Amino acid sequence: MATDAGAMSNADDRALVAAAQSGDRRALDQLLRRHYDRVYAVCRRILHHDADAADATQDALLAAVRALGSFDGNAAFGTWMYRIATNTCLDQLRRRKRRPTAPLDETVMLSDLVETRPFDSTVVDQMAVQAALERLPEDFRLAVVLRDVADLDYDTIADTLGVPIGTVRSRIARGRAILAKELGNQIGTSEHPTNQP
Amino acid sequence: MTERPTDPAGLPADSFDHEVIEVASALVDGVATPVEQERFSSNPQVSAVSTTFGSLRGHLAHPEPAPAAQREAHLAAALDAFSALSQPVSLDAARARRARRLMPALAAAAALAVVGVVIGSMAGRSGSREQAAVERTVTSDVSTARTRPKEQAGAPEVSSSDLANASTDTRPMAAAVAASGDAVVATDTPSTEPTGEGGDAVGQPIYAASTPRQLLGIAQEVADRQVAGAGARLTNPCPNIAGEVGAELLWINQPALLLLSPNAQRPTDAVVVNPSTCAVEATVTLGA
Repeated sequence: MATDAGAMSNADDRALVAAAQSGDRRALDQLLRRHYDRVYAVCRRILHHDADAADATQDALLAAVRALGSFDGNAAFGTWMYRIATNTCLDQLRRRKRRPTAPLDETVMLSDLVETRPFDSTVVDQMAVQAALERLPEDFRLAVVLRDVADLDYDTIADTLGVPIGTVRSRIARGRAILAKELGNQIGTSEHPTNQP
Repeated sequence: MTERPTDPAGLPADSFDHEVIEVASALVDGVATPVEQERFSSNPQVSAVSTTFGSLRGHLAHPEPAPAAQREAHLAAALDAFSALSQPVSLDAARARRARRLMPALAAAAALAVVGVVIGSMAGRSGSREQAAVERTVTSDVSTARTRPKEQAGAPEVSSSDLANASTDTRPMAAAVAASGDAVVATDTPSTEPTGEGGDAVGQPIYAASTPRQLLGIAQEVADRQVAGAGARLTNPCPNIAGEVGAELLWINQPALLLLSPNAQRPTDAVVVNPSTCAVEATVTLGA
């Protein structure tokens, strides 16, 4: 679902890509700067380790620069860039030893979610989200991050992860449900103020 | 066996929950099928879960900014890589890169050559201190002899007795003293092998020498052949120098003639002359 701002951003990206492909260093700087934070966020959410995420971000940027000449504009630059970042992170995940984490309870009942209040950025901080993501089983975490952080569509996620699109849909839903339950429980037991009387 | 709770459509509760959750998620992403939309659009539970997922998505979609220093460093590295990729490749740069790549191999080859020469010279070296002392008095190198003007330098003179001493020390760049006081360098191993076929071939240099010791070896060989009547009989082109041509040779990479002094029994001296100018390039004392 492209917003007006997103469409304008994509149009800007296309102009910047064309300029960068012609050798315009400033255009490339602007292009990469525009997407840097999200690339880093994707890597941080997938790898849940700051130093690894920084390394993967650097590798992804260099890979994108090297492949820029072959970018044909069929997809949005952001999609292309985040997919490169995702692949870089997946490579790193395969290389590194798994860090032991206490996995979240994957059993989620509808009642768990219906009774959960909608999230509010003032009461759910980034650390809580990051902590919950870290404990999310990897298959679900990758699907949720690629959808909600990288904003990739289901087809692209399926291609990237090498799984059928139905599996992507299921993993995203399950991952979101587990996260929502975990974060909803945190809200219910935290000392943060809520809108409830 | 306890009967599992079911939803109004008769599905088991956990299956129903899963379906509702998946449809709610699909609605957030705009990928629910028309059938799903029609079936669940009025379901309050689906609406509630969709709202929760929408909030979660909104939360995840706004990441914290990366550390500024890290961002700038990464962008600078990427731009440097871009500049490197964008630069046209010049032939000179490619040659320089190739030279840099070959440099270790060339250095290794040079080191091996030096080691080989050192080992060779050590193998032929005697332990005589006196001989070593003689050799240490000579310090010039062959480039000095080559570049020195002939008028000033005079011709280097080599005697078999000088070389007899020198030959016991085959250290590289050891030298024999010329009569003039100047020095020419003798290398460790004489090279008197003809460079072509036939020792008496005329018209092309067949010997090559760049050291007095090599020259002495050549002169002795040529003199022996001359005595045996097997040497070449070429016309001496230099009327100012008595002697007959023993051989053509390359003396320090320059064409030259080796003239043997006339002697009824055996040549006792030899000179190397420039065939064009008739200048004496070197003299050799063969001994009795």
